Amino acid sequence: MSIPIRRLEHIREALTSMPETECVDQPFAPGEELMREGGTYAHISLVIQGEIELSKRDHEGREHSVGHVRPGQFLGLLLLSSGEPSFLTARARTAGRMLTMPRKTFLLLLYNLPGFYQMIGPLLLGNLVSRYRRVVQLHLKVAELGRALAAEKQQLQAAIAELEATRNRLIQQEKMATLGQLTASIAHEINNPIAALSRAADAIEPALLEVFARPTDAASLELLRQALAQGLRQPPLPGEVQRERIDQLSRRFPELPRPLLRTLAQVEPDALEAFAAHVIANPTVERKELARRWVEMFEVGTLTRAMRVAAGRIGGMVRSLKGYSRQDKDVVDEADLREGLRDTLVLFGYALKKFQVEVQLPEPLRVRGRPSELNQVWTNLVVNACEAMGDRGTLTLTGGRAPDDHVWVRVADTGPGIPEALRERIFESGFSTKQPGDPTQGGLGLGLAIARGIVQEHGGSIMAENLPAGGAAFTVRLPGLPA
Amino acid sequence: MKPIYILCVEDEPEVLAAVIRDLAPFEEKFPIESATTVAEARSVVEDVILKRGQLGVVVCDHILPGEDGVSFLVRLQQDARTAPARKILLTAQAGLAATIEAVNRAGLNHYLAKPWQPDELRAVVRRQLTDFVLENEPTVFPYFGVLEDDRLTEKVRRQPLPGDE
Repeated sequence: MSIPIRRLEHIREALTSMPETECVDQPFAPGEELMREGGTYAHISLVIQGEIELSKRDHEGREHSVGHVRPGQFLGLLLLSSGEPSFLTARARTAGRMLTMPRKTFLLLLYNLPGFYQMIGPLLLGNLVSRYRRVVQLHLKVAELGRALAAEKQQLQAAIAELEATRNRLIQQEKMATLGQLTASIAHEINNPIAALSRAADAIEPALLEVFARPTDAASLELLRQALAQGLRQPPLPGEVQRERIDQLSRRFPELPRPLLRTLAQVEPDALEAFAAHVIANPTVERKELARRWVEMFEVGTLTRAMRVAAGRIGGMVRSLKGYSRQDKDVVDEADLREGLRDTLVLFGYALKKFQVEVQLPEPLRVRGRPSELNQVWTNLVVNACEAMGDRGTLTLTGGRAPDDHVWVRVADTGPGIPEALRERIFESGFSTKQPGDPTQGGLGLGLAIARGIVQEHGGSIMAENLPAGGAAFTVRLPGLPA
Repeated sequence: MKPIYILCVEDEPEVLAAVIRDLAPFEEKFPIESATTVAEARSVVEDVILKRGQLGVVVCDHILPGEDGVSFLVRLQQDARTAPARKILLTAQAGLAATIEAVNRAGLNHYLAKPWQPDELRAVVRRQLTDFVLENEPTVFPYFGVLEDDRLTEKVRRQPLPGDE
């Protein structure tokens, strides 16, 4: 609501011409403080020209702009009836002038001087109405802001939930990547004994058919039984020894074919001599036949032995697998860390083949915890060490009890070590020295972050350092149980 | 005539025994040697095979203790005395990168996955031995009955007879 300047001028002239109003025409300069919050003032002013800014301090002492007083509006209106200390601070924003008169005189004239009320009344009413409007608008504004704030809060909560879900998904993905490596290793580790097993099974049938193609007298049967026992007893020979024996045998029996010599080379020398004296040295047709069957029977023995070894390997693998991924995930259990460490090494046998592996775990490392989660820690540390070493190196696994009842496990490699600048960051999520997007490299760079999370949940700590002799070492400390 | 050797490299004795057993039918003409590590394989090539004859076919695992099979094959390829040998990778797990290296740098001739079928292994070795003999041997007659006879015949048929112009 604006008041025409002309009317204001008219009021100014009229009021200043009436001495009983005690009016003073007061100019002000920009920045001039006209009223201070908390001060007491006995005047009321009508602004004629210029603009005054009103401000108020909050309970923390910060000043906020709360409105303006423009020409035709009053300064000190709130104090008009109460005479209380000033509610606001008033500072001139521009140069201007105002008509100031004592509050008492203002009230006196308002009630007693009809001409005064006619001039001032509409202004006062207009002022009050506009201030009331402002209050209503402010209420609306507060309500709007409240709603916006609530909506924003909700969005924020949704974003946090989304982030949490993404993080869990990434951790899951990393675990799957490790699982992929583990599965490849297990597939290889099991494929080898399976190949040995199935090939041996294939070979046994024709060998036995050959052996029992003819009726066998008791003496020959005894000889064949000995051949079987020999074969069962005989582990594969080192290549060099076998080559040497084949050479000797080929000089001694130049007429025998090489596959047969290879088999004979595996027979213990004493047994071979007995066999030679008894059978080979006596080359009748029947004897030759018996010699063939003896060798077949010996082969059945070695094949059976190979099958036992292979089955044992697969069995050991499955045991490690069961120990490694105990399904009772959330169950806190007492465990000797050495079991999980051994299972992890067995399952990664294939990935570790190209490295030297040294294990020194002389004493029990008993802790309370979730064993399958701790296995994830060993897996991540071992995978990390292997990736650091590349094609060759030595992986050293040590562990023990500290005097303060903590147990510790250290995984050390002979890789290039951790660049000093990165040492603080390697446990961060998503930190990786690997090429991004290289699927052959496996992980997402969460391995060490996951390891640290699990160790911390168990009340322990994990530390990385470079070794004086080169390579990096990761040491996990966990609260131990009495041995 | 220098004997043509088959070399099997495999670190697990039981698996190695199975490979050798499957290849026994070739041994009548092609002596088999074996090794369980790359280091041993090198010394077998140097001290046994090259002293007595030549290397015809290598059947090699990839994942071996210490140095791996592919790098052994690469070295064989780089040595003029063993470069003509036919190279077979017999492995349960060789990553794409290792396989590409074997093909590009070792002149890999065949890739066989474990567990293998004995007939398939023999067919592969027979074909590779035939290739080796056709490329490197002046005469193929001694190998009839053991190798791919029709391909040997084809070579004989194309050779000019004495008196042909």
